[in-house]
This record gives sequence, structure tokens and C-alpha cells, in this order.
Amino acid sequence: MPTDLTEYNFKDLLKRYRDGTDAVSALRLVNQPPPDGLVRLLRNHVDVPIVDAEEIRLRRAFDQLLSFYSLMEVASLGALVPVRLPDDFVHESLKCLQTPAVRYYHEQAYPLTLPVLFRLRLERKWNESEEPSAQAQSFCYQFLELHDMLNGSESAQTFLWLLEDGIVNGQDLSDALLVALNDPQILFTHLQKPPPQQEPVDRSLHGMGTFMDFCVALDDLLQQVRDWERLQSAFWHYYAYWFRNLASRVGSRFRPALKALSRWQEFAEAEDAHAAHDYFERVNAATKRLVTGHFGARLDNVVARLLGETRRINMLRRDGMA
Amino acid sequence: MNHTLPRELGHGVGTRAYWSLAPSGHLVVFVHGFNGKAAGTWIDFPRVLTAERACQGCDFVFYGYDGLYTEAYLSGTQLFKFIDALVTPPLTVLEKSLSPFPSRPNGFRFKKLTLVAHSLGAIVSRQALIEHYRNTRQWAEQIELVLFAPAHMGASLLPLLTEAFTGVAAMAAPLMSLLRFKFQVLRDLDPESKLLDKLKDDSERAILAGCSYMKAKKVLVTPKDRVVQNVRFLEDATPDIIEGATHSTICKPRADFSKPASELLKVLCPQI
Repeated sequence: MPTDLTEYNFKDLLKRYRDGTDAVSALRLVNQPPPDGLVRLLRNHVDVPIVDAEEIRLRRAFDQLLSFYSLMEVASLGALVPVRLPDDFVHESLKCLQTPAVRYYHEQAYPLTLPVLFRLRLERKWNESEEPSAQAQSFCYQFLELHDMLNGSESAQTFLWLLEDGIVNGQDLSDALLVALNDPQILFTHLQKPPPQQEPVDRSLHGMGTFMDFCVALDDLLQQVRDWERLQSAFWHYYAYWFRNLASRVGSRFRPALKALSRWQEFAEAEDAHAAHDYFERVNAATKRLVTGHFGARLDNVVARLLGETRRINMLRRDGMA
Repeated sequence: MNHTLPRELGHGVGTRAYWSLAPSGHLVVFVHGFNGKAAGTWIDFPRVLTAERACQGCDFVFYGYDGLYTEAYLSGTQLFKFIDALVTPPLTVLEKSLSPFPSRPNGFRFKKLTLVAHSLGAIVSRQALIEHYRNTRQWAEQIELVLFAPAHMGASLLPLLTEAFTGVAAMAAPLMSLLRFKFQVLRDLDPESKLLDKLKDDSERAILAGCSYMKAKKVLVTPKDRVVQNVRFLEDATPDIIEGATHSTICKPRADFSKPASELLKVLCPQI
């Protein structure tokens, strides 16, 4: 029986965010690779498109596993988990994070900072964390609240999936979303459906609201945690994939949607319009700050220093993030 | 830190708990409002409360329910059943959720229960307390009610819909009023609704029978509230005003807006 709160926290994180998700399928694949090998499965979709449903499922499993390792890095930085993690966990995690195909997937094809840092931590090349304090740890609790608010919402996940490539269940929904946001009658039709009857476009409309609330709340958290720079940077990096995309191709779907929404103010009564104006101002200001990449710089620099390379920084510069 | 990471309880909709490692027997249950969420409505409270030394012994539960399509009365009865299962020995819900943490000591009982509710959550919580009275339960030696912008006198539907659907439907005002026929709970929030009349009658009866916990210990309101009428309910405490908040933001403390949290702390930890 663990005796220290950090040991309990480690078990909680493991149980909920790894063993309680499809991440375990990805772990199994690392130990028993598919016949085609992991290299093919974890390729860049630009090279060979991903269309097979089973491939999509397995790649999502790897995304969940990498999200879990990212969460472990956040927890390590926030001193939520023990400095020394159990040997079997370290061994198993290193085996995964050092697998060439997995490294290619999260270091080159779709660069993520936190799993790299966590690998370096497990390899004992990186060991920094915030001074244990109730305040720093309570910020981590809030981060988990936000995590569960977004990840636990099926409608928000549908919206994010739609933002990424517009295709849900084989249907391009980005146009349908914009049509709904531009027409009160259509929007009304979508919003009134109870959950069992909701189609992806109905869910994505509800999800857009959750995502906007999330952006405002995350931005607020990042402002509050500014005195803990590594933690602040890690919180941002956990969602860097989305914010980088918002700054580029995904933004081409999100911005028109937001613009369509803000036009509704014209139809509202003065007080409602004022409240809505304030809300959209907050969403706009928050998303502008979140997509700049400013918050991520601290840990990007750490990775560049530790890896002794400028490739990552160059890549980020290319994306307009550094 | 003295609390677990958030644990899903498998009751209601996404209900989650932060359990204390040194429990004092004080259980605090948060109940969200119309279209709220267990994780979302009270977004800053876990951070504020778990970091507060005086709250280290409190257990915090963020209860979730369907605040759109289910009648408020039914949501209230479900909340009653949930709390009843949580606090009544042998405390199986608690013990199952605590694992692998050490069990609570033998004979552990909750001594105090604080229900903290926002908007529609006030109706749901009062309904749960009426069930507590009707079923002659003994949840704790002390039960208290803290209300943020309570909707127990009804709500103006259009502003409520506008605020509840912050982003997506915020501006669909001309059509949103039609949604009342789709969202069952909105009929309950009509100031003329039978549910509200009955809630008042039942509460009055319970107070007359000596259930002082039916009188809210603290009521927090905002002058900018366009959703609910700031009218006193029976013998509730005189309301405290939170300036600069709206109906939705009154229960959302931020870095530059600590009043919602500090007012709640005054009730939870009067010693600070």
C-alpha cells in the first residue's frame, strides 16, 4: 500500500488515463507489433493517407498513450507524482517512447514536446520540477478539471474532430456547421435535439460552446500560473497540437465559425448583445494568446538544449510558433 | 496537498470527488445549474478549496446531472438517492471510490453536509432536502445550504438560455424561447410552475417541522442578474451581493475575482 500522496496520485493517473483508455491497445502493439510493423501504422498521413478504420483506431490509441505520457510529464513538473517512478513502469514506458516508429510519430511527423521531455526524464537526462507547494499542485488539479471538461465531452471531441479535417462518419461537416451558424432556423433545429437523437453536426454545435469556454478557462489558468513558468509551459504544450492547428489550417474552419456566431449579436436585445459582445471578446483574446505559442517557449527551449539540436526550434519557427 | 486527484463516482452525470486524506467528516456537495456540468461549472473551486489549509479535512463532491432534459423534481430525487447512498453506512460508494487509499476509520460518519448550489441547482438541492425530511433520514448532525443566484423563485427563460449556451446559441434569442418546449426543465423554471409552488409549500412544512437546514445559510446574488429574481425564499439568510458578476459567472472565481470563493470559505471554514 503506498504511503505517500504522490504515490496515490501516480496510481490514479495510471488507472484513469492509461489503463482506463484505449492507450493499453497501443502498449500491446509496442510489445507485439502488427504484421505491417509500427512504421507503416505510425506514418505521416501526408505521405500515405489514413483511410482504414482500424488504422484510425490504432493511431488514436497511440495518441491516447502519448497524451498519458504528456500528462505524466505535467504531473512530474507539478510534483504530483514521485520523483522516482516504479521500475517496471519506467522500463515499459521507455520501451515505448524509445521505439523508433513511436519516436518518428511524435518527434517528427506530429511533433509533441511533453512526451519527449518525459522520455528524457525517464532516461534521467531531465529532472526539473516545481518546488512542491499546495499552490502549484492545486493548479495541476485545475488543469485536470479542464482536461476532463474537454476530453470528457463527447460533443467537444466531435467538434475538435470536425475542426481537424471536417469529416465525421464519412461526411464533411464543416460546411454544415457554418450553414447552421449563419441561419437561426437551422441552428434552432440542431440545438433542440436531445442527446439520443443528436447527429454529429448537432453535437459539434454544442461542442463548439464547450471548446470556447475551455479556451477562456485555459487562458485564465495560464495567466494565474505565470510564476511557475515550467508548469505554465507544460499546460500549454498539452494542447499545443490544437493551438498550432488553430493558428494554421484548423483556423480556417474555426475563424469563420466564430465570425458567424458573433454576427448573431445584431439580432439580440441590447443587454444580451452587450453580454455576448463581452463573451466573444474574451474568446477572441484568449484564442489569440493561445495560438501565439508564447506560453510554450520555455519548454521548447529546454528540449532544444537537451537534445542539442536546432531542428525542433526551426520546425516551430516554420510553423510560426517560436 | 491533502486531497486525492478527482475521482469519477459513477453516479449522476460525471460526478467527481476530491477525498481528503485526513477527513474531518465535513462533506461539501456542489450542484450545478441549467446546462451545467460537474467539471466546468465550478471550474476554479477545486483549485481554491484544495489549496486552503482550513479545508484540508473536507471531502468535495461535484455532482452532475442532466440539467437540460430531465425534470427538476426527478433530478432532486436522484440527488437525494445519491447523497443517501454516499453518507449512509456502510459507506460503500465512498469506500469503492477511495481505493487504493486507506479506508476511513471504523465508525466514520459525516458530521456535517454543506450543499452548494447554483441557479437550477437550488431547486434540485431543496428537492433533495425535502426528500431527506420526508424519508426521515439522518445524513449528518448539521446540514447547511449555500446558494449562488438561486432559481427557486423561477427564471427568465430568454436570458437563461442566452447565458447557458454561452457560445453557440447565445444570440439566437428570437427563436430560443421556443426551446422551452423541448427542454423539460425550462417549464419547471417558469415562475408560475406548479413545481415551484409545491417546492415552497413543502419547504415551509419542513421548516415548521423543525428542519432548519431548509433555510439557506448563505445566499449570494448579483444585481446584474437578468435570469433570476432576487426575491427572498421563505426564511433564507439575507443575501450577500457579489458585484461585477452575471448569473453564470457568480460561481466562477478567477484570478481577479475571488469573491465567490471567499464568500463560500466563510461558510465552510468560519475560523479563517
